[in-house]
Amino acid sequence: MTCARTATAYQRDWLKGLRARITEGAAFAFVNADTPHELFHFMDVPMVTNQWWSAVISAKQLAPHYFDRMEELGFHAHLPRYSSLPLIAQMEGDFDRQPWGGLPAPAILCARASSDEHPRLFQRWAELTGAELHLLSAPGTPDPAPDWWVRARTNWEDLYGTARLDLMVAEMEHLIAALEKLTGRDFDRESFTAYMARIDAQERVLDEVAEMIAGAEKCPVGIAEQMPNVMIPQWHRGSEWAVGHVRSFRDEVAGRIERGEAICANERIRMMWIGAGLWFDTSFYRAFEDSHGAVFAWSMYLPFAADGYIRADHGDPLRALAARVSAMNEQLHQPPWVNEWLVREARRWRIDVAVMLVPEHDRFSGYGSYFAREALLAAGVKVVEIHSDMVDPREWDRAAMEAQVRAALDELEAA
Amino acid sequence: MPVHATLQDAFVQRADGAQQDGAALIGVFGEGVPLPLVAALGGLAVDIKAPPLSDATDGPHADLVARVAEPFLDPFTTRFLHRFAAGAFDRFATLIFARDDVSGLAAYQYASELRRQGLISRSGPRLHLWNLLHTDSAPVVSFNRHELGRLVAHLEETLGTRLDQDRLSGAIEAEKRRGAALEALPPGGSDAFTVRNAGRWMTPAAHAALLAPLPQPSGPAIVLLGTACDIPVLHDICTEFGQVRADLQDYGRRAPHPIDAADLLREIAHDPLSPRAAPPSRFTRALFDGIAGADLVIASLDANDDCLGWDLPLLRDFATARGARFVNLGFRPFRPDAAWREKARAHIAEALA
Repeated sequence: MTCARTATAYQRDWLKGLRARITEGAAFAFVNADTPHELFHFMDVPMVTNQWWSAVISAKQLAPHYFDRMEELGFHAHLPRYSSLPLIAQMEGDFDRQPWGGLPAPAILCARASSDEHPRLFQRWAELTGAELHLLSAPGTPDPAPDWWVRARTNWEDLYGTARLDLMVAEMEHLIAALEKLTGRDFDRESFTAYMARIDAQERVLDEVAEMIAGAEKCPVGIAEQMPNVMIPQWHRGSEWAVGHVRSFRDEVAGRIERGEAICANERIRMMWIGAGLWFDTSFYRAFEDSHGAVFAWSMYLPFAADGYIRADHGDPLRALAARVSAMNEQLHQPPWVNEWLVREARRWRIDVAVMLVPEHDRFSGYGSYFAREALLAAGVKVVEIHSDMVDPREWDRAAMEAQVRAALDELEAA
Repeated sequence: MPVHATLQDAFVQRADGAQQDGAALIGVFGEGVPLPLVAALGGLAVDIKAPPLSDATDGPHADLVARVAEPFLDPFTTRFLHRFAAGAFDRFATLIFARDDVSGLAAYQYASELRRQGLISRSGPRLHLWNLLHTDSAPVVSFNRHELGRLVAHLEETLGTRLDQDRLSGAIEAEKRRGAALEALPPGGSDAFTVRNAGRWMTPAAHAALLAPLPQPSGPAIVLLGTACDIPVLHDICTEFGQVRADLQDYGRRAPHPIDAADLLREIAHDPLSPRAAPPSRFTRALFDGIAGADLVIASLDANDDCLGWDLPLLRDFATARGARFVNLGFRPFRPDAAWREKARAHIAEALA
């Protein structure tokens, strides 16, 4: 797909540019995926996302080295891996080994305390680099409405709770003050409104794309190509490039559908991939097309761009941003949010089989998996559980995993 | 002096043996709930996280829980859910879950979801998420106050009472008296562990009345580090090697309680040994302080630990730089068997040899 290549090339050039900026003395931020990236982008503070960098390291097949090293350093073998891979690479300090020469020390760090490990990991980053640490609180939602995606776009005040939103806004104001100090620039609230509106427009385009693919007779774009087209613009959301890119993506998808193009002409089975990407072996996503006409049509990244990001600003874009961030990850991993959403998505996308990555070490990402499994089964979706990890291939047995999926597909075709 | 039979029974039977004595039972999952508030409103706060000791052999098993409980769920959560499904808490008025407890949020969410789906009867106790955050920034202080208001409203509605400041002050004084009695106990040893924790299933007054002096152990100073451990397995093992001078694991220490009716949360929110103390360096510093001066530091963790494992290399280096021995026993089963105990004993003996 032309767009996917464009996105990947853009990201590579962007990182080269980032390194050049840093070499020239620009400060950059190292942040978790579920933090308000918008504030960093808007203040023109270059930013690297922990989980994205982890995926890059994994895709370069470097994870086994670092996870072995992690245990040598005295960390136990059951600690979460997705978010810790960049830390271990940084601790080792051999930047020549890392993709693109590794990362220099960031100026500022930001994470949400959405799981037990994130505060601790970022504390270690702070000790290692001397960077200023900003932790955002993550109190639980006492009464999580199951149909969050219906309410979240406009009625988010009731959904997430006024006290939780007040807290997130106050903590973001603290972060804004730090960014003002770092950059020497004021936070222009009027321009921020326009910036947030551009993000909203970007996510609405992705909403259109999701609806198009979900409704297409045959899947025009598999998840391996969806991911870069969604996530790279997502890391740069609201920028001119990002908005332009998702429009190109939409147009290319529309063209494919119009021309009747499908990634698998013989598509018979639609599958969803549940969980983060399998970053070290993305070819797995296409392993069942020839044998079973089975296509991975759905991963969370595209539909979540709409449901997880579109938030009406109601005249207060900072509060709308708090609504976007305050339960971002939780919606993907905690009952009832995750199970109800996956069933809705499975129905919307006409899914036959769900392949569920259950990351036993990244427990925060694994919680709710079985509620989701049971809900999908009850909705008539066949579920294949894969107990593995999104970035660590050491226990990944490709042949065995393929056999597990093929058995389910055989069973489905025989029924 | 043997442990008083009432305390021993309370420790063994736990929530199942809690005596109501006219008070409504209020389940508490995790540290950090202001217990005097519960007492002032007419409730008896009872720990529901640690299952009865008999649960290890004849605890209930519910298929509906097994279907949704991932193998990496914290064992306290899993056992709670099986007991919840079996009706172990049906005589409770409400169950309060501390969000900042390592396993509290999942326990609340899974129990709530089982109930929402109708898989578990809706007629059991109410469920409440206690969202106290462990830091002291102005926004968090404001948020914590809101959460306290929500907890007070929940308890008042559940118990049909109104908060009375005199009763609250009285409950705080009772908790202080219990605290003073506990201070007189040695910090470690199986008996001290048992009698201290027995109070989780008793009123402060009844508990304090039964606390009696225990012999102070001697020998090398040992500090225990790790995830929550509700049985004195390591205290037993350490008896032959020295004195447990501090047990920094949940259930091994007495977490802070309110000391001022005008500010119920200050002591709790400032607890530096809460795994979610923020900034997280407070937690690390508190652990450093806790192991300073130890002759031997023993670490053992639940296999599902996401938290303490990130500090272990630092703690090891800190301890050994000060001449202490550091033993990492690795993963500790929820209910360690004889083989694990023997292996642990051998590791400790080797470290001290």
